[in-house]
Amino acid sequence: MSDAKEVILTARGLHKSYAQGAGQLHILKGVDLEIRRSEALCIVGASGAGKSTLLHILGALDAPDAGEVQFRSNNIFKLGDEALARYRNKSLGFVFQFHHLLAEFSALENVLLPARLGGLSHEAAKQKADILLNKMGLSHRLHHFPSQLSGGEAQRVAIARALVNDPEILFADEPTGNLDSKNGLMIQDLFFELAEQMKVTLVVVTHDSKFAERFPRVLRMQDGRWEEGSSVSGEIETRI
Amino acid sequence: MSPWVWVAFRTLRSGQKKAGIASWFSFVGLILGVASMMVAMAVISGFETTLKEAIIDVRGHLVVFKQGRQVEAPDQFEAKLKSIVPDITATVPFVMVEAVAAHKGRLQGVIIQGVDAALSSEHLGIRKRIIEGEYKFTKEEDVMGVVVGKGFAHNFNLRVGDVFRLVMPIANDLRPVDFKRKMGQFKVMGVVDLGKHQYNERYLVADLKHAQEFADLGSKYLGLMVKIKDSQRARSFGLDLSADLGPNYWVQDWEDDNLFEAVKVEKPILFIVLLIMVIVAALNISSTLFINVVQRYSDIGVLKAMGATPRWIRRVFFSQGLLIGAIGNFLGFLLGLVFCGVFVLLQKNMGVIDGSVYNVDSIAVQIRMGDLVTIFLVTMLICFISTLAPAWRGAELKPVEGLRYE
Repeated sequence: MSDAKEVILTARGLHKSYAQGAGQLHILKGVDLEIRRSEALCIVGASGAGKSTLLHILGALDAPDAGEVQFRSNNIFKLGDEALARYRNKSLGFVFQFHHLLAEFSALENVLLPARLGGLSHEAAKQKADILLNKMGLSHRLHHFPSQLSGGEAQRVAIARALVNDPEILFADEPTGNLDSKNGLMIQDLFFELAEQMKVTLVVVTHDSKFAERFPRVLRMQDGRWEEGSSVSGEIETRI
Repeated sequence: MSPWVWVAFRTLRSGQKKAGIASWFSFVGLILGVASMMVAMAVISGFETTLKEAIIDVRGHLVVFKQGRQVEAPDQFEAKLKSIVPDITATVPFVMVEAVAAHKGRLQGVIIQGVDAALSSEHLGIRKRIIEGEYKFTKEEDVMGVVVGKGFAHNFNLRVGDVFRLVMPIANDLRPVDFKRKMGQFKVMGVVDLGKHQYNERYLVADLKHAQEFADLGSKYLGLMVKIKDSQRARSFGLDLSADLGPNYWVQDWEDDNLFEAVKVEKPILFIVLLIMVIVAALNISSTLFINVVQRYSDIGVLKAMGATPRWIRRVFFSQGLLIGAIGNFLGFLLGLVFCGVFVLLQKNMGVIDGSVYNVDSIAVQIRMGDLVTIFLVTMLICFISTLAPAWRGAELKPVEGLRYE
């Protein structure tokens, strides 16, 4: 499927290795990618193929050994600490396999924290978080702590937290990997609904083939590279 | 409230819980360290003040006397001193003679301080220190009324109204090696706590004229006790007087007691020794914060993924260190107050201070704001320094390292 939407994130020649014993484990071997505004992209592949490492690099959580990532033509790894943090805060949202909510904060507080980090007043951040949690169907759980929430509820709070600053790209790393099938399905629906409503670009890494089937664009990784047939520019729709 | 302060406060308590009982021990160590410093400073300051007040009450801020006997009229001498130091507010002429007390078969050397009753009442602080009887010096026939130190009264088992004898050797002006013996009878009019052990054991306060008469001094006096506006300037005024009066005059100020020098040296040493206790506690707190950082790798990773800068993360840990310091100081000061109260009670009921050793029979514990501010600031600084390493570790953590940590 051809798409005329602008490219907002570009990765070129990404390499990443990790030390393993005396040697090096080469995880990414020259990965290129273009992500277009408001698209929904799924990355699949076997364990150890390099999907999560790629997601972390695209999300500026880790730096590549070689190659570059450009967000709207700016190389993000040339940004200073402050600018890089601002980029993560304003432009990106993250959802992980484990919800990673801060245990000492209520659902509402967890969601408003990124907004506070972005400079919003407590009241304004609270109002925004409140609206989002209501959208997630968690109005009755605002003041509950993560330990008092079910797995599905906690993951919904994590999604609200990722979206509170109206990011341009939402990265999700195995977001349903830790949930039962019912909750997993609910989270999948939520992703697509919110991505549609909020016009956010969705980049998801998953093992779940049923989840992957719902994406218009799917890329498969194998041994640190795109599997043959994957379209890194997004101009050709690829299905598993 | 800044978001980093909010996060710091909220996560501190659970961090303490996670670090276990060791973190509470280090916190208790900090509290005890602060309390110990506070009590030590309060006791030393109290000792200094007790001694200072005793000396000033009994002898004024300065004592000026001439070698040999003073013949100049007190008014003229006072005018001379005031011309050198205009800050002089009052002077009290005095004599001081040594004698031996003899009573019920017991002998003891004493010093009779002769002062004018009215002037000394107004300008010295002996009257307010009376614990039994009155501050008055009557003379009935040959029996002179005196006020005696409480130690002297205790040693001779004297009560108000009791009469005792003093024997004084009077030198022969022509043959100084010959002494004639002079005896006199004295009646206890009042018992006084002069504050300093040595004064209480040996001092008798008598009327100036009675003392002059007993010592065959005529109208001669030894010198003037001087009061000034600001006691802290006694040393500099004393030096001015010495310089202007010349070598025939001696000037002593209230700080001339060696104990003040000892206190000046001991106070900072004691502070530093007790500070080591706080430093050890702070090191333990640092290790607790380190544990907290390691246990929060995942949280730090998430915070960074949400847009927290390294500086923001550092601020969270700095805030935690400063919060621990502030609470430790507050609780330490409260505990210090309790310890001070216990010390005062022990002094009252059990007489824990041996006057013959410490020169004072009791110490009025004095908590000085300056001491508290110093303790607070030093403790806060140490707690802040103790957060540097954990804060640096947390701030430098890559988000992905934190997220991998479970």
